[in-house]
Amino acid sequence: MNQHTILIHAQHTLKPFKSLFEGFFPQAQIHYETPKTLFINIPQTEEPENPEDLYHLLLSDLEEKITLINMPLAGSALLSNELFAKSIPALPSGYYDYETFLIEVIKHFPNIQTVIKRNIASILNPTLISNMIALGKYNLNVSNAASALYVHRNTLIYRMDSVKEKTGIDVKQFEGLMIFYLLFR
Amino acid sequence: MGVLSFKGIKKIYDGNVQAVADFNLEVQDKEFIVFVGPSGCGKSTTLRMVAGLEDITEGELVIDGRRVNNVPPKDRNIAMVFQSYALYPHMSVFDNMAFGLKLRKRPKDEIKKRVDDAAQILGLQDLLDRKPKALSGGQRQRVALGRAIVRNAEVFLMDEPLSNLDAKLRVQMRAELIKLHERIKTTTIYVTHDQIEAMTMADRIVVMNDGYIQQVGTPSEVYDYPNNLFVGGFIGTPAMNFIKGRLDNDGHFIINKTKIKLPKAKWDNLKEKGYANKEMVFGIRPEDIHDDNVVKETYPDAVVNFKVDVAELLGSETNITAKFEEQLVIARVDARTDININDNIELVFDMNKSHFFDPETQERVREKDEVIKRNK
Ligand SMILES: Nc1ncnc2c1ncn2[C@@H]1O[C@H](COP(=O)(O)OP(=O)(O)O)[C@@H](O)[C@H]1O
Ligand SMILES: [Mg+2]
Repeated sequence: MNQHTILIHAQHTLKPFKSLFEGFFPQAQIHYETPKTLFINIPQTEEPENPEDLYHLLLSDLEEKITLINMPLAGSALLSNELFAKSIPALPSGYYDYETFLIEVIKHFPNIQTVIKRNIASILNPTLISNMIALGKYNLNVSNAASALYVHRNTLIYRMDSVKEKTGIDVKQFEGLMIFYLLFR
Repeated sequence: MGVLSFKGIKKIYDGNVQAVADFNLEVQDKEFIVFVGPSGCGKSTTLRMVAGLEDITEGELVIDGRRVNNVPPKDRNIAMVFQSYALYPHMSVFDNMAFGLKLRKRPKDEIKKRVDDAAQILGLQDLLDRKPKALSGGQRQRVALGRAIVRNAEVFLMDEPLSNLDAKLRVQMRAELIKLHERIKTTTIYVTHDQIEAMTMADRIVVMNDGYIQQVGTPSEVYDYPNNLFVGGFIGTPAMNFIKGRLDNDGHFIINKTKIKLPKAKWDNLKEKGYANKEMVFGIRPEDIHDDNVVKETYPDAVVNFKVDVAELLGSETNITAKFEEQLVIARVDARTDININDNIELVFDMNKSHFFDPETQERVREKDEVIKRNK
């Protein structure tokens, strides 16, 4: 299902997060941790209405630079937990949705970029990838992109959904397509 | 005390985005300061630098006499309130308010006292055991404020705290925030893109655009004496009208074939400053354009023929959008229902309320007695 993982990084106080999560999502489970980063799986039933609210709550209670990333579960197909955890502290602190986070990682770390690119290429067939580039070229206009690709509009929409399902990347957003542009164009 | 001093503060994000440029401001103890400006103008960045969540690229930030550029957020004695009803859903109201103090390992009885005091101020005494789900929107918002109050901070930082609320609740919370500030007088920096919020809440407003401060002043100063075209256009709804034309050398403002006479003091000032025969932008607020005969008789040389484009009846007032010399102008007059599209009507500019802007510098031409008037 459409389960989410929340990645949290703090420089000093990671401990209180654990009790916090019990207060916020009683069913949540920590599924990976390093001394400064926690990966917490949130079951769909407890999905926060707006994960940015959670970021703000934590910020106002902890008062230190923290980073919070809201990642769909499929995101773990793109990068190992180790590499995610390594990249987070190097980014400017703040709240990131998944797509924006990937763009930042791609910009900051050429070697991680290579890994993400390789992983996407192994999950998605080349047609899907080139379709996404076409979609970008047609300014996210599905009808125009579909006719240029000689496929039915619904086919293209189906493929976009399938990209999201397999990689977690929402290509209905500008930022999602930008990831494909940065990696494959 | 909560005194802040911004000295030449600048923020450049990596990737060379200059978000804030040369920000200078002195905030007095107990003041309610509002940063206002369009999205992306650098309000949140400035606030985050005060909070210590963003490094300061250049300049100095001094809070209560102490340079805090390198002081971590927790040691700055500030409390943050963000846009949200956001509360920990599985914690009681009490625990939501107490959580920050528990993290700081304050003694239990102190926590209880502070939460009780804040609950008293906010009228939440009877709700302390409830979960957020069982609260109304307004109650939740008050708990969110309570979370800040319990900290006994010297400065409150609020980033668009009301922007997620529906219009009615927003108005109600605005009033409640003002009341709260009157009561506890904590120095507050409040960020919003909503100029009405700024005008109704602030002791002083800081108008920002493109990373630069455009003007600092009380709401009435910023409204009556805008520094430049940006401030004139941003503060006030409907916005100030800007009419392009030029001055002659005889005390008139010329728009194509229309000639409007300036009051003597205005003209003397403009002439003295070298604006005779120059292109100018004439600014006039909608409420300073009238349709009643008394005003027309008082300023016969500022009566202009308009063709009506739209007339909107809004309760006790009517907003007339009308055209003259190919320029659209909005006038706010007393309610009337006898106006139709394409009617020709006469309106009169209250020229004593006129503003003149230099189109090159975008600055408003200052009046001679302005400093005295502004300080009244
Ligand atoms: N973390 C960041 N990295 C790069 N640029 C940023 C970052 N945060 C904000 N900016 C940019 O800085 C400028 C000011 O943003 P912000 O302070 O959020 O504006 P406001 O709060 O007034 O809407 C904008 O151009 C914005 O895109
Ligand atoms: Mg902002």
